[in-house]
Amino acid sequence: MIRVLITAVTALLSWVLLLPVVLLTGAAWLFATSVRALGRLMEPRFVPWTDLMTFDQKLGWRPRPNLDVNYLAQRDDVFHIVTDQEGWQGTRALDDSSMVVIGDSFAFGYGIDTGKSFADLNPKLTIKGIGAPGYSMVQPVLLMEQFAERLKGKLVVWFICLENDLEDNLAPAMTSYRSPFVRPSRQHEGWEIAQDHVGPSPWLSSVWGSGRKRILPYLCVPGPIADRTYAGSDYLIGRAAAACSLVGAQLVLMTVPDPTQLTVESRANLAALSGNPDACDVDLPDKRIAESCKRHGVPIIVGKDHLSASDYKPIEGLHWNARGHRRTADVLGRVYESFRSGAIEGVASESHSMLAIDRLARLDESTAVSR
Amino acid sequence: MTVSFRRADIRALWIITTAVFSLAVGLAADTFGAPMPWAWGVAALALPLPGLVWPPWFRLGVRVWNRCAESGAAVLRAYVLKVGYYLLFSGVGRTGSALDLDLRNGETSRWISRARHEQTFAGCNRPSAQGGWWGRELLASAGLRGNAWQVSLLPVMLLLMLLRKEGQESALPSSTYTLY
Repeated sequence: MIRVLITAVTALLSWVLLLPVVLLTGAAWLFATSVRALGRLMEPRFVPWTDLMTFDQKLGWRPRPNLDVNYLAQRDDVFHIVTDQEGWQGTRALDDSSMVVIGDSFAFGYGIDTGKSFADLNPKLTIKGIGAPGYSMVQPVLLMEQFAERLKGKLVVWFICLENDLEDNLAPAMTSYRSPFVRPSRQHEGWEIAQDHVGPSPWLSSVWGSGRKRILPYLCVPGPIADRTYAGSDYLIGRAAAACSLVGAQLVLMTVPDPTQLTVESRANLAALSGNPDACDVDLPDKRIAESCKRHGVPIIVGKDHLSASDYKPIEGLHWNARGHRRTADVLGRVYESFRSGAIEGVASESHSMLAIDRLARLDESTAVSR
Repeated sequence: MTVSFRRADIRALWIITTAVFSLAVGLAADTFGAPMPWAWGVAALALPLPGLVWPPWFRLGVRVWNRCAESGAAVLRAYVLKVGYYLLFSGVGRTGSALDLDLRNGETSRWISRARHEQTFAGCNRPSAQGGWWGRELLASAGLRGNAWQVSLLPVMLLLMLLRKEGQESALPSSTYTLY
């Protein structure tokens, strides 16, 4: 009986002491819940990603055609997407565009409403974005070969996201979705694109699992991991260059930096993650890609020279914000001017030396002066 | 209790904050006998106006709320745990609770080896493990003989659940990489 009494008194006393907490917490919870409820009412309805993407035998997956829907971006917001009859973002057809930007989610315009991405910010330029989230460098190469004659006379800008494209080139699947990849050829010396395994059934041997981290830090350190990765991307750059050259399209490659490469603090963190901070060179991915571009006669734009950390979404942390899209649109505008003036051709043919945009910029200025 | 940075949530936060602030100012003005208290309420509607010339103002509002919610939750969580541990558990413990914490004859420790734990609890039918409400498990346990005191834990558990640390602003899980 005494036990019951003591327990009851103790419980009552603790409840009294907790009453202010209950009131404060209740008020805060009510406020946050009301905000969320009102937010959901005001937010446009969005569809699941399975309504946006479909299986493709060659590419693994591609966006569905004739979309006009909203989607929820991971750790981000709801955005509006419109795709054309072939499934590529925007209403403008490929054949009506003077510039084609090809790549992954950056080219797709992920994380921004269609109409507000880099492809639509310059009214003087007709840009077609061709890409899908999760693409590596392999799918763009296959697309360039697939489009072939349709790229004739156009400027093709190839976005390469350093955070994942280089690594994903070597993977037979993106999570459980089978995708084409590159590997050393089994028939001849050199590399090949493997596609036989691509199908709608899940890939059960995926390296994706809880706790998996990207290998970008290791790609900043010379060694076998970096060598193999860059050898794969070199093969793809060569193949893309050949595909565009064959049909008279001008290929320009633009590296898209990861935000971790853009601030002093994050670069130090990247070096620490690499396991070999003394040998870590955060610029190594750009340097190795530039070497490949030089070898294959492809002009390169080093994105890190034009983008800063404030051009990326602060919370989602991977894709461009509105400012980043404006910056990219500006860069593409300048590249296109160089293309129209013939300056890019000049750069590409000049003993394959120094192909960075600063060279293009100087050619831009000299062209402007001569005009 | 944090708010995400989705545009709709930012708008919703400012709508509700402005409405509540306007109401509070109007009521305060009325309480203090100000002439035309409704005018004070209307004036308080100017709270979101800086956002018209400086759009980051709106995100700043969400950031301020989230920071206050996280800091406040940490303080309140610590307070709730202290009340629970030093008052509830101590008080109930002194009455000889049925937690059976005392060492039995010949025991030097109450640590249970993993193998023995699995033998002892493997067949445990836990509603929370099956996706049921955690409170059901607590109430079921409190219904056992000698465990009635556990009912007093319900408010503590509820508060700790509401005040739990959130990894990031709450948002519906996305399915970007669930393709087809």
